[in-house]
Amino acid sequence: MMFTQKRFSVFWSLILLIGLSCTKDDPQPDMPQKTDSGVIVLNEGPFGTPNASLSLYDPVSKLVTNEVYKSANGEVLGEILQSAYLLDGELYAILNVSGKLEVIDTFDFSSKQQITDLTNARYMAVTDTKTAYITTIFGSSVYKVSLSNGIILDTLSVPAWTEDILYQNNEIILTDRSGSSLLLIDPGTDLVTDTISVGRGPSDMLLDKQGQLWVYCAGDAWSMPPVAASIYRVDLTTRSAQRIHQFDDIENNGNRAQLAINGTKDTIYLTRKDIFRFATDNPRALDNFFSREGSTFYGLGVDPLSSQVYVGDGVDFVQNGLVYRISPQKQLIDSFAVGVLPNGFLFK
Amino acid sequence: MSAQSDIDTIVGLRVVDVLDWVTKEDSIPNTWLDVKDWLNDRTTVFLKDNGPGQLSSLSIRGASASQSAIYWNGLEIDNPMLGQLDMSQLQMISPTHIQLFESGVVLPDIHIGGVINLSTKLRSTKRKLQFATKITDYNVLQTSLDLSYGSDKTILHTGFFFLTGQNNFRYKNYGFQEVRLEHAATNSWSFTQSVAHKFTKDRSLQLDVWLRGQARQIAPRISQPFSRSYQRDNNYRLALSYSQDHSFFKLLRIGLLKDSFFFSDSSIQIFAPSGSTTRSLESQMRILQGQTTWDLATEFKYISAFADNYIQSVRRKQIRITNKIQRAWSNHFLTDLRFVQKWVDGQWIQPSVHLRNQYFISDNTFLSLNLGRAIRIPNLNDLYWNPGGNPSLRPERSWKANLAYKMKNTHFGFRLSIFSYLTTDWILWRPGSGAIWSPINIRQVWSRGLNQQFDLSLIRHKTLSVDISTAYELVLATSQKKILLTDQSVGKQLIYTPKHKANFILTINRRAASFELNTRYTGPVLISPDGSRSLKSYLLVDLQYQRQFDIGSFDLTTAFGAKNMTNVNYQIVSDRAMPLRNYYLTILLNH
Repeated sequence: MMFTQKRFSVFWSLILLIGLSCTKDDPQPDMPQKTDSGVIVLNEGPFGTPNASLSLYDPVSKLVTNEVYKSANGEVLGEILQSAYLLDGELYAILNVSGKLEVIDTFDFSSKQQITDLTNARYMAVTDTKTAYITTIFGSSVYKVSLSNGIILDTLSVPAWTEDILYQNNEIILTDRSGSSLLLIDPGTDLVTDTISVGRGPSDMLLDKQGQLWVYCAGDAWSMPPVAASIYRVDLTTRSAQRIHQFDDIENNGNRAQLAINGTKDTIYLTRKDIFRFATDNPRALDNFFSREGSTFYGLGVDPLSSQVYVGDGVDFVQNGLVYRISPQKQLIDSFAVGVLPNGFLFK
Repeated sequence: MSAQSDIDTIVGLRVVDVLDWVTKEDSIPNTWLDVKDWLNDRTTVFLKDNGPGQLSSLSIRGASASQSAIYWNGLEIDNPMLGQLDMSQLQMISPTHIQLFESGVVLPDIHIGGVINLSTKLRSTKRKLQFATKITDYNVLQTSLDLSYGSDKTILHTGFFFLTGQNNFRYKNYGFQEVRLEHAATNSWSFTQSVAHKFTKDRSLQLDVWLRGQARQIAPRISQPFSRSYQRDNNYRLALSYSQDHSFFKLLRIGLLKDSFFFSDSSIQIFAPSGSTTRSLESQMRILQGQTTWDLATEFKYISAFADNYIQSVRRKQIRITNKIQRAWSNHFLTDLRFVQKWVDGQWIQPSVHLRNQYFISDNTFLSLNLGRAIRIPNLNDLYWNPGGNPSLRPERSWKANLAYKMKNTHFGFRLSIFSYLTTDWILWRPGSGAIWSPINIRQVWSRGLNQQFDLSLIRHKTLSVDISTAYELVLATSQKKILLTDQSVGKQLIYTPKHKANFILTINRRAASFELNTRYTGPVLISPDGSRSLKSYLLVDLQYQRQFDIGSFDLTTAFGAKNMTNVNYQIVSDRAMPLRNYYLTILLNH
């Protein structure tokens, strides 16, 4: 009996010490596509590991190619893909934790340039002279970067933690994320020239076809008393803001919300717990566009040609995410798996 | 808990200590004991380790760190805010006795995960002075000095420990270049003072004090080599125990634990001080009636804590009442039933219960079957962290079953343990419907597997001995319930929980010299709950040569060792550097 036990133990030990190292390694990413069209999905990646990625989706064939950057370049994109922009055939990806701006060829996804030392970078606006202004999280600084030369020109000091940023009519517009205003900067002097009061916690904004600015204000669920989220419409000519929506579900305050607009720039979509939309000429009529029990809506995009809506589902923030493709008639057309935390969409 | 071994010794039956509970134990008479190294080298417990000198958390049989417990001289020293302890803080100065209870069942409590018990074992001794130092090739120096002195009645032990260094070990970056880790320097010190006084043969009083401080740079991740975070910890621990061996009243213990932390990272504007104080009063009583023994343990605990992320400082009052009834039905069969009831801030918590049946096949062989339910109350951060803390959390519950077989004689020992745990209401931090993370009772996890150990003495001669020891652990810990409709983690192994761990140790002793080969295998671990990302398996080989010299009244021992001999490039935690081949030299002087 003792002999049997001894053999048994030695068997286990040897088998497990030697044999188990044959376990399969990480699966290889799909081969990259080279294409002029498609939907680029921005996968933010989990915090704590450099696993941000790009996925490419072909709405015609419904083919999804994940990790196109890694396939093209043999290395990971970086950590926390905060935002990305298409400009002159190039994709500018801001990696927040990696602190860099990655310039990527949108045809084959090869890396063309890296601009580093952009600590805590978040969102970007580009002027007519290809000068980028990049906001930073928690800090009161904005990077000024020459995209032509790939160098940081300056680090501007602004009076608040700024989040979203736009360039319109020779003005840089920033949201004061921890306050209740928009800051306007003259790119000629890089000085704050004006402020516009909006709701608490402005976090996202976009322009409609009439040049009106729409601002989502996340509110502040943790202040005493809590401040509800809201949507403001801003007339940049008169510098006046009007509250259009006031949300009363405190539970959703502070959660990630994102605005997107259709190709004709007359219908605005908003992610909260559900997806809402409203027409810019009848903004108070809020239409519940799409909901899905058990989903964690994260990124949002609208195809400018088809007006089909793409919604990212972050699942539990650590697993691979999903994307729902929805027709303007509210029909779910397709869903597909992408990388971790799909937070935005670009349309080639 | 310091009296655990005594209390669990079976009274009125043949003298066999109940080692089905203790998975592994050691006495460390010389130098210091680095608990992290001991667990890594001697057991199959998995440590989620960020590297030498860095944060490290415990995972036993698929349970999380907060579901396991660390005891020091009878006090549970896990931080009440986090519910766990950074294992890299545990450098114990001799003489320390360490026990690993993978089953998680000890006299005062029943834990979902396992238990590590550290106790100071003072022995009557003449004056003894001991100096030890260890230097590594990545510029870390550890030094300890300890002094024992006393008489037949009173024993004192004083210990100092100091660690400093750049901790700049070699690792491979993602470009496969060998570089040295930067910004990982660490400095820590410890002071221990123990005093034991024996009033009579049966009655004694012991005071243990442990003060420690640490300031360290948090090593950056491989992909973020320029990040700069810092952490400073201070811990003050005191245990005063009065014990009587052969009477109704067994033990009275007063405990005081004070932890403070300061984390800073200027790049992300975090400057976070926090701290907690725990005061406790514990008593243990025993009634012996024929073959039946009844133990009653009660503890009152008062915890206060503060953090920038608490709206106001937090207080918790807790009473724990533990009943254990043990009966020997015959010389071969023993049963005990434990019942743990807790009262926390005015509310009675569901009780933990545990039934053990133990059958002694022979003097050296026994079989035991254990069934029970363990409860874990949420830690303070789960409840009060702002934003996100959830005061409505329920305790986690786990049904546990364990079947153990053990045999041992002078030449070999064998132990096999098969376990199955089903844990419900597992607390999981997840985003609400957006960016604010909050804990909820949602997860259901089934952990099952086996743990096997085999020790064999191949040669046992006066001048030569050769021993081998092997261990293997299989843990299948799977998520059983969808947390969302889109959740892909059901049926998948938990993250940072290797299915397979194994080790093999060969020890050769010849006269004053000894040689040890230590080989450890860790299987792949998932780092994403849906199984889409994982870390590779690795096999590490360590070697050590040690020689002892007698120099007059001094006893000098030197050891030279190499860790990771095969220069394996591996990660235990994703994106955290681990050392390639490295060397150390240890010198120990006894007087």
